[in-house]
Amino acid sequence: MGERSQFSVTAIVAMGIGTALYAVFTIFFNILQIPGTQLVAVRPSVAIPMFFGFLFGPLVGFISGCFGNIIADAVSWGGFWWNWDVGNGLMGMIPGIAYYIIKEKEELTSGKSIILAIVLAIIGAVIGMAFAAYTDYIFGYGISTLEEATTILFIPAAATDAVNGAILTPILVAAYGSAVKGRGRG
Amino acid sequence: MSITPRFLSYVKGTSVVHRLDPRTKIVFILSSIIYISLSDSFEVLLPLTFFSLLFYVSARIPLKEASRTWKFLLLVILVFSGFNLVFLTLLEHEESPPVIEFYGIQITERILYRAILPLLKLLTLGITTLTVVFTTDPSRFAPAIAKLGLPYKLTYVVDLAFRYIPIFFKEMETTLHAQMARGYKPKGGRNPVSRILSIVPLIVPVSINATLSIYDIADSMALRAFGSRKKHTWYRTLELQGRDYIIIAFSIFLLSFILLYKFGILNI
Repeated sequence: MGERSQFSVTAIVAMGIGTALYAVFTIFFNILQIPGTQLVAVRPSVAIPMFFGFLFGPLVGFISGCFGNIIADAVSWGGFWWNWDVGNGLMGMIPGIAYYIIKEKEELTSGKSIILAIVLAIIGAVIGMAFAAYTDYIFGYGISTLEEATTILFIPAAATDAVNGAILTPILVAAYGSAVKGRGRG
Repeated sequence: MSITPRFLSYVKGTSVVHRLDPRTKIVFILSSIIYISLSDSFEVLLPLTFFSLLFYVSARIPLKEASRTWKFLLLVILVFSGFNLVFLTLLEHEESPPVIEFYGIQITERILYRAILPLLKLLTLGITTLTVVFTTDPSRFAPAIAKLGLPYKLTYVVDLAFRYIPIFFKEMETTLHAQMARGYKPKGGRNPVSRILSIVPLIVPVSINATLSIYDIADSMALRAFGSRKKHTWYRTLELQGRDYIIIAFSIFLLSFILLYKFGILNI
């Protein structure tokens, strides 16, 4: 699957494209706020950094999620929160484990690859959102108790991101696998 | 159906904040984030809230340009977060002495510190970042980050992202029109939620097309010897002026003050 270095020209371009794609879709989805939560939006676009992490490695996934979230939040809300940016980065980074397991493009459409995409998307969403929600509590960003951080931040954010990621990431991986079949590279 | 972002934020201007070097704004915003994170009382936080407001007012951003973003930010901070915080604090049923009372409503010390202080933190952070977003041309961020010492490859990620965002908006619109030509009927009308949900089917085709183009872009960059040298120069040059040094000195003061306060060397 192309050059396998985290700092190759391909990886740098993937980071830039992943960041732009995640930002473009998230700007729209930021409006879909979940009632009773604090700034938590339903974002089907979380599958983008997960997919980029899966395909190009953990660093590409992290940068796409982190930078994409900064730009999207800055454009739609006029502000950004560093801990949610890191949380989004982690969501893209964890599916990057697949980069070291799936080494051939032919494997992308296999059952193993699909299951891996689902499992890593869920783990990524849980770890990423746990980091974001509990750092909000630690630094007192509008959250004053641990229960609050769990009920109005962690559970809604992790559940929606895990569902969106688990549905869309394997679709993206399989679609990309089919698209690059027969291509000389990719 | 047209797809355009509803609150794209850079507002052209000639104010002193517009003329600040983007590096200065990045340094100020980072020191403000640390200051806000570590402040634990009104006495410590309020001076920064005041300076953030001063920073915003100095930017002379026309209200009609900023009103949509402000309405949304205030709705999120004061209504969503405000109600959540006040009600959750009240539900805890812990006794606390009243500090302020008006029209029979008592603001207790507990509400003040566990609901109003976090709100003020969010608001202060919002004012500062909003000012920077409104007054900085996105194309100046990449050279600024590079000049701050970040590796140029990482800086190029920011540059590429800003360059491709408008292209992907266009790509989304083209893909939507192509799907409509094949019979897809997006839900439009006045309901914003259904309009946004009609974008979901675009995620897969737009992402796959964009991912396939990565190799072509990488090849053309490699052919121009991108990455072959350790140093990289930028077309846009940046130079710090007197006003930048004042803001940087103020940012350093903010950082030193909050660290000395947090480690107990300075008492308020």
